[in-house]
Formats: sequence, structure tokens, C-alpha cells
Amino acid sequence: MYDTLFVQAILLLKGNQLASLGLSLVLAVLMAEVLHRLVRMPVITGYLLVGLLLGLPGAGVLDAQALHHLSLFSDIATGVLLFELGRHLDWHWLHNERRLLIMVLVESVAVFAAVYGLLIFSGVAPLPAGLLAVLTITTSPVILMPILRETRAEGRVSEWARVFAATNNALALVLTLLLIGMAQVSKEEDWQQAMLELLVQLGGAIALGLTCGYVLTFSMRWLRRHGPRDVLPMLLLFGAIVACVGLANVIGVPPLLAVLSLGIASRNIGNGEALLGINIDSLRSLFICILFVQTGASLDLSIWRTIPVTALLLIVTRGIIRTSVPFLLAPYTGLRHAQGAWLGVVVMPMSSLAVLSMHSVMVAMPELRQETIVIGLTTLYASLFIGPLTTRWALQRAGEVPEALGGTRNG
Amino acid sequence: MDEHEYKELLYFQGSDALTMGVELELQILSRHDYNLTCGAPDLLAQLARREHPGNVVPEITEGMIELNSSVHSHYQELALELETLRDHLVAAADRLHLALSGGGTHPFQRWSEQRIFPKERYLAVSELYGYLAKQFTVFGQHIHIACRDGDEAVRMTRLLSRYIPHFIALSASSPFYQGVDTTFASSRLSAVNAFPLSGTMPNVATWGEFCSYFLSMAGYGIVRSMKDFYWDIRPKPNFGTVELRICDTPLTPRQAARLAAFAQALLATLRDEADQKPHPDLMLPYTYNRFQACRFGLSAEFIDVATSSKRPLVDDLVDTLNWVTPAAKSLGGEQAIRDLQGQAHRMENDAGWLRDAAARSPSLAHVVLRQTERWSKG
Repeated sequence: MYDTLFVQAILLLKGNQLASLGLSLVLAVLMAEVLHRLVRMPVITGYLLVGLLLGLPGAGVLDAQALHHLSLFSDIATGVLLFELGRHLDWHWLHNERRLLIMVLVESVAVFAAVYGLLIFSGVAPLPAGLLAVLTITTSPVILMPILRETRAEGRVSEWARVFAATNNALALVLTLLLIGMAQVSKEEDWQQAMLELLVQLGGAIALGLTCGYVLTFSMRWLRRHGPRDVLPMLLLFGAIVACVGLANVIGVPPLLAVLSLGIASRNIGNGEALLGINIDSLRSLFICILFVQTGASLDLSIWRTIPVTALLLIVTRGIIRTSVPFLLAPYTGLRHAQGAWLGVVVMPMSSLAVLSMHSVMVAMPELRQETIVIGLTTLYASLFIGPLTTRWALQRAGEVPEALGGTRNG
Repeated sequence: MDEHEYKELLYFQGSDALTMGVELELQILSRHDYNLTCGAPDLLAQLARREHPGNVVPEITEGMIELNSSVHSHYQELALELETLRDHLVAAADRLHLALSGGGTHPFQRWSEQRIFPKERYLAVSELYGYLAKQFTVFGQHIHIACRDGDEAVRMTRLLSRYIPHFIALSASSPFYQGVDTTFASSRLSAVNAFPLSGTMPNVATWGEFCSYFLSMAGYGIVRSMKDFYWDIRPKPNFGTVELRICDTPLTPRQAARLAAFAQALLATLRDEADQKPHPDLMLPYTYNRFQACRFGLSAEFIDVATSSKRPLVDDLVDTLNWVTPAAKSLGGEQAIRDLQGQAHRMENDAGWLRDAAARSPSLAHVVLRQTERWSKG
């Protein structure tokens, strides 16, 4: 009990972390708003900069211990955002709109192939090259979802972007697991055991997500049987997301895949009706703020001193493929070419989940650490700082943002 | 505009045939939360890829779309076309992961979040009326019935005003607005009332008098076309019709066709009774009767100036439906009148259906989901 942050904060007058955390959040909100008013900066970038200023790269107000405490909130934030992303995968619709699904898969394969080819050409070994290529197919839900909300973007580009992000994240999570499995298989004599573990991980995460989805659906139906029940449905939903992430950790399956599966399951069980009309916006906003402050405070900027050329080439190659494939295939799914190009820019930011996945891979393949981490983090940092701006800009250009928020009508 | 252009604008293209047409404003909804969404531009682009009957056009905000039928003589043809057009629209919306529904208001949308459709006329309306333009994100059915000439259109506009409460009560489908039960059967008309040119046509007796009135208003720069009048009923010279604009969009296309058939039969009956003149006090209880119908639907009271009596609106409705049945028979709309009689006897309208759905649902989003199901299958 005495280990809890709250008790520590009361007992320890010096180095009071609760105060530093609280003040950091207050500062994050105020600074984000100032930057938004001055230069229309997306608020999540503002949070990130405040984190940078107060964290390890800056003043050090948020020290390693504080960041450790914050990581719990950040995990929850990531869980909530992945859950929401999963809720945009409507099987019934995608079954009827297979062209969209095909476009997402073609685009992912094209990004993978181009990045993999580039890395092999640059002399990176096949396995780390494969790993990095998998990570680059992702779109960051942590950037995409808050920007969609902040800009109040509505329309086909926004809708397609959510499907892109949900699908390519699911794909990347599965492929990352496969890579881990391959690495273990290559090292262990008992390859059958390694394969079995891989299947258990994959199946376990999906099964956990599905089980939590059914439990959540039935509990929610019971809870709402006699009306809205005030905030209770929101709390139940929130609890289910956190429980899913936690249980995944307990049983040793990938929590990101589990919570994404939960989102997909809850959208598709009973047509997703059980969760209809539940608004977790305010709760999510709090966690997103903490997530970006923590991310900013944890950044290792020393990486910028030695940006490898390969990383820059990777960013450019990925950008070109990510924009050109939707541009070319746009009419195939009923979009105009211009909409396709904007869609490519909207889904550009690479997922920071990729780094989390990468850490898992690093554990499995420690020998790859130096070779991959610099390239991966460089790409990710570029996404973190530039991604919110490019995503917002593309949504504005696509004509899906209200004029009051900088939208245009020429999408 | 010069005099010649105004003359052209006011040329009444009448016809002897009692044809009818319908305009329906529909809600475009996100399938994630069943809130209104700005889907009109994408939906119109999607519809343009395939041929379909009727016509589909944008409305003032991007969460709305308007469906126009062709001109019809028979109820069944109109109903069939509306249902075919509905199927096309639903299929196009489905491809975009959107849903469509009827209903006079969206139960929980925020009017301030709506976006004006980028069309010159709508932008001008928004510029002039400010927030009222976005508050006009309400959904109505307009019924056009052909008239022989402008004089008949003016006469019918006045005579039909007695029956406005009947149409309001039958079509009422907007009990919820901005997230609450308004206690009204039709809350939509409150949004229309805010416009300075809403209400009723002034007391003119002939088309000539009407044209003089119009030219005076145009001379003062108040109006430029008939579209600037947001009256409950108005003559529509370019269509050669009288246009009833007080119905909420029903929850099914079939009900929209029934209401049109009722209007057609009513106009035919009034036309046959050429000696029937508007009662001198006709407009005295107009706003009271209108309010009663909006507030209480089929349970409203109705003041009949002809008998100087107050009676249940539903009784007058049943009498009216009986009265127009012979005309409906000759026009092929008997089934529609019979269906409406059944609804009147059972005291059923869409507002009641929506309240029942809300009572069984955990949220208003569920009610909208039920509306979309009713629209696509009903």
C-alpha cells in the first residue's frame, strides 16, 4: 500500500512526484493551448514539446521514476486508442467493400517491399530489414485518432484512414509476432516448441480479445437494459479495456493485439449495438495528454546526432510509396486521385506501437539491437514531430475539416 | 432582375392532370455513432456513378440530402419509385459506410457542428440568417400537387391551410431534438418558425394579386425567388403546383407516398367543390391548430371555424379521410387513404413509434439505428 504513488506523494515532502506530475499536466495543457493559438499547432504536439522540455532531454523535472509511474497511464491510453481503432473494423462492411481491403493490403505490401529492398540494398541483414519493413507499414493510432477528433474531420478520407490504420496495425502486430517466432526458431533446436509458443501467443491474444469482447457485450447489455445508467457504461467499457491489457500481460500474450482484437470483437458482436452511444472522449483526452507528455519526456534526442542516411532514405521511400499507391488505386475504391493522395499523407505517421513491438523483438533478438534501433527510432521521431502536422494538413486539403478549423473546400 | 425576368419567374405552368411529386430530406448518418455526418458530397459523387430514378440533390448542410420523385398520377407508382430510389440511396450509402434515415429531426445532433453545403444559394442563406441556417438541419417532406393555373394555386393554398394540422399530425416524426424529448410530436417546425419569411401566404385571392405582392417584396429587396418564402404552403409557378411544406419526413418512403396521395385526393375534392370559398375566419385559429398538432400530434384539439367548435383533431381527420375517399378511388390512391384511416383509428404516427423505440433503448443512438433499419426496409 505504501508503494502507491498517492501515499508516497503525501509522505515524501521532498521530491514530491505527484506535484511534479500534476504541474507538468497543467503546464502541458496551458502550453499546448498557447502553441495552438499562436501557430495552430496540434495539441498533441504541444504535449509532446512540454514533455520534451520537462523530461529527461530537458529540465529533468519528470525523472525516470516519475516516467515509470506515468507509463501505466500511457499503456492505458495506448489500449484505449487501439480499442477505438479496432471498433472501426466492421467485418460486414469490409466484406462488401473488399476493394478497400485489397487497397490497404496492396499498400502495406508495397511499403514493406520497398523498405525491405532499400534496407537490403543498404547492407542491413535480412531479419532486421524484415522487422523494420514490418514496422513501417503501421499508421500511428496515437496520432491519427486525436487529430481526427481535434480537426472534427468527416468524410471518406477520414473513414478510409481509420480502416487503413486498423488493418495495417493488426497486420504489423501479427507479422512482428511471426518475426519473433522466426528468430526463436532459428536459435532453438526444438523448433516445434518455438512454433507452438508463437501460435499460443497469437491465438491467445485474439482469444483473450474475443472473450473480453463477449463478456463486455453481455455485461453492457445487462447494465443498460433499464436505460442509460449515467456514467456506469463508460466505466465498464474503460474497465474492460484496462482489464484486457492487464490480463494479456498476466498470461503472457501481446497486449496490443489483445486490445485491438477486443475493439474488433466489440464492433462486430451483435453489430456493436451494446456499446453504441457510450462516450469516452473526456477520459481518453486525459490519457492522451499523459501519453504524449511521457513520450516527449522519454525521448532520446542523442539519436539526432548521428542520423543514418539509411533512415532518411527509409522515410522518403516510405512517404513516396504510402502516397503513390492510394493515389494510383483511388478510383478502384471510388475515391478521386487527389483524395487517394491525401489519404496517403493522412496515414503517414508511423506507429509508436512499432517501437513497443520492436522492444519485444529486441528481447528475442538482442544481437539486432544496434543495427535496427537507430533507424527505427529516427523514423519514429520524425513521425512524432511531423506526423500530427502532416496528418492535419492533409485532412484540411482533403476538404474534410470545417473551415473554422482551417479546412478548405477544394478537396 | 428586370421585369422580364420576374415575369418569367412568375409564369405559372399549370396543367389539368392532378399529378403529384415528393421531395424528401433525409438524414446522413455515421455508422459508428449514428450521429449526423458530412456525407453529402461523397454520397452525391457515389450516386453519380450509377443511373437511378428520380433526382438526388444536396440540402443546406452536409449531413442532409434531398430525394426528389418524378411526376406521378398514381399513388402506387409514386410509392414504387420512392422505394426504388430509397434502395439506390441505401446501397450507395452502404458503400461509404454511411446510413440514411427519415424523421423530422435528428435526436441528438448538435446544430453548431453542422457544415453548410458549399453551394452559392446555401452560402448566401448562411450569410443572411447566421446560426438559423445551421439550425435548419431539420428534415421535411414537401408535396407538390399540380394546379390548373395560378388562380387555382392561390385558392388551394388558402383552402388547404385548414388541413395543415392533419398533415402535421400524420407525419409527425420529430419528438427528440438536441438530445431531449421535446414533448412535441413534431419539433421540426419550431426551427422553421424562426425565419422571418415563414408562416403563411398573405391574404390574396388571385394569381394577379399574388404577383403584385411578390413584385412589391422583390422591389424592397426582401425576396428574389419563391424559394425565399418559407411558408407552410406556397404556390410554385415553375412547377405549376401548390407545395405543402409542413410534413416531417416520415420514417418510410411508403408513408411519404401515402401523405402525397392524401394531398392529391384532398385537392381533387376541393377542386370539385368549386363553390367552396375560404371561410373569412379561416386564418384566425391557424397558428393555434398548428401548434396543437405539433405539440400533441393525433391527440390534438382542432378548432373548426365553419362550425365554431372545438373537437379532437383525429375526428376531423377521419371525417376528412372519408370525405376524400371517392376522389382517392378515382385517382388510384384508395389504399393509401385506407392505410391512413387505420393509423388514425389506432392513433399511430412515427412520433409515437420513435418514443416507443426510445423507451426500449439504452440511448438515442439506438433509436437512430432503429430509424435507419425502418427506412431501409420499411
